[in-house]
Amino acid sequence: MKGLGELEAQVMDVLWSATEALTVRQVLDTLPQERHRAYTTVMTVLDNLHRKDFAQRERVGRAWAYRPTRSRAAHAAALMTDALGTGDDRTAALLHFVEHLPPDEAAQLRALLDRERD
Amino acid sequence: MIAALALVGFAFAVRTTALRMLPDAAWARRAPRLGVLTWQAVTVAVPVSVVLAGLALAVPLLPAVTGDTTGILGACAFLLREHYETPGGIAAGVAGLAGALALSGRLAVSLAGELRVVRRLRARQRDGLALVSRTDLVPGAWVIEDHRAAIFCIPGHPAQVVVTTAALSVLTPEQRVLALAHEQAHLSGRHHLALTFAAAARRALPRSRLLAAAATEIATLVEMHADDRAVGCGERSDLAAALVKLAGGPRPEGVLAANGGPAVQRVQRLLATGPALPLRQRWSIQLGVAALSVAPLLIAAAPAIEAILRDYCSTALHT
Repeated sequence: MKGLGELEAQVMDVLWSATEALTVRQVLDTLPQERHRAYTTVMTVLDNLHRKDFAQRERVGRAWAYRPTRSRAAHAAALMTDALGTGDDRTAALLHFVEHLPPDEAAQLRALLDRERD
Repeated sequence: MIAALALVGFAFAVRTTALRMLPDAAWARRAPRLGVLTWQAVTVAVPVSVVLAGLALAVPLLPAVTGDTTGILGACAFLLREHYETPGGIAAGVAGLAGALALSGRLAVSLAGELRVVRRLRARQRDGLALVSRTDLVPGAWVIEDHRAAIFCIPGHPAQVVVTTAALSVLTPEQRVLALAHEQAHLSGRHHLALTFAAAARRALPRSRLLAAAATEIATLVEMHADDRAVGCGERSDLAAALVKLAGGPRPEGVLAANGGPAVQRVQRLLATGPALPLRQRWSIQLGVAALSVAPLLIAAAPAIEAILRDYCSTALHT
């Protein structure tokens, strides 16, 4: 299972660095050739990425061609925005190290810490 | 009838006492895990007592349901009916049963919904971040390139600690170790389960002051527990400094600011090391928690136990 996750990241990197939509065959040919990979494995990975809405696909002849839904930076930023925004409502989904405080409370904390250091 | 009344009275007494004594209790801040356990015992005991009260009212319906009045089952049912008799009769029984089913159903549905939602959110984060994370920078954590300083963990299978490049750049190496240890403590302590149960209960009965207080307090106490576990890896003042740095930077877009969150209390607590809770006090609290857990069952079963005892004693006396 871990292997498949790693391959997902590699396939996504291929899509992100491409300038146009890629077919399964094109992705397979672009992947680093460190070991033999089956066409169907890459097809499954691309299908998963599409199902998770990370990649979009369009018909090219009889095959599907895949492109990333968002750029790499936008993808990461959107996930981080989700992660940082869920803090209040769904406390149990992700566990944050610390919540973000309004400036006056943050100043109060800094004063506390400074007093301790003196 | 008496059992049902006693259970409702017990639930009310526990609720009132807990709301008066538990929020912001000093001992719970000193022993946060025990504090979580106590809140959990209270939030289980109260609804369980109410459900059992409803069921106790419904016991007299038993013979009607089994329809058998001659066999052993029938005799048992008859005996039970005698000891749980209510003046309200069938109507009270039906109402009690309906109430018990409604309350427990509502809690179960809310819990199932909560579990489904958090599982989906976590899977989305895990799958998405896996595509853009670096695993070679910090052992055991995913590093995400982002200008917002954040450290969090994604519970579940597999659990994962996530840290942004901005967070790494503001923390010293010592502070970084402590912050990551705090997240690991959340995962190994299974704090997400305590939070999920508390959130589900609160959502099931949004007007309950008790469940709202429990959810808030449990959220604060698990943070303190994770802090306590983390300081095994370094200095308390370093963890306090890490908290201040990450809580107090300029607020980037998309980040919620939590008013009056536990951060202030956590920093105060880290800077002023209090003595550990005396062992005697620990034991008496644990005893209280144990008593809270069995009391509703004992009260509900009291009439049946009394019946058995009375039969046993009269047999013993007459032979």
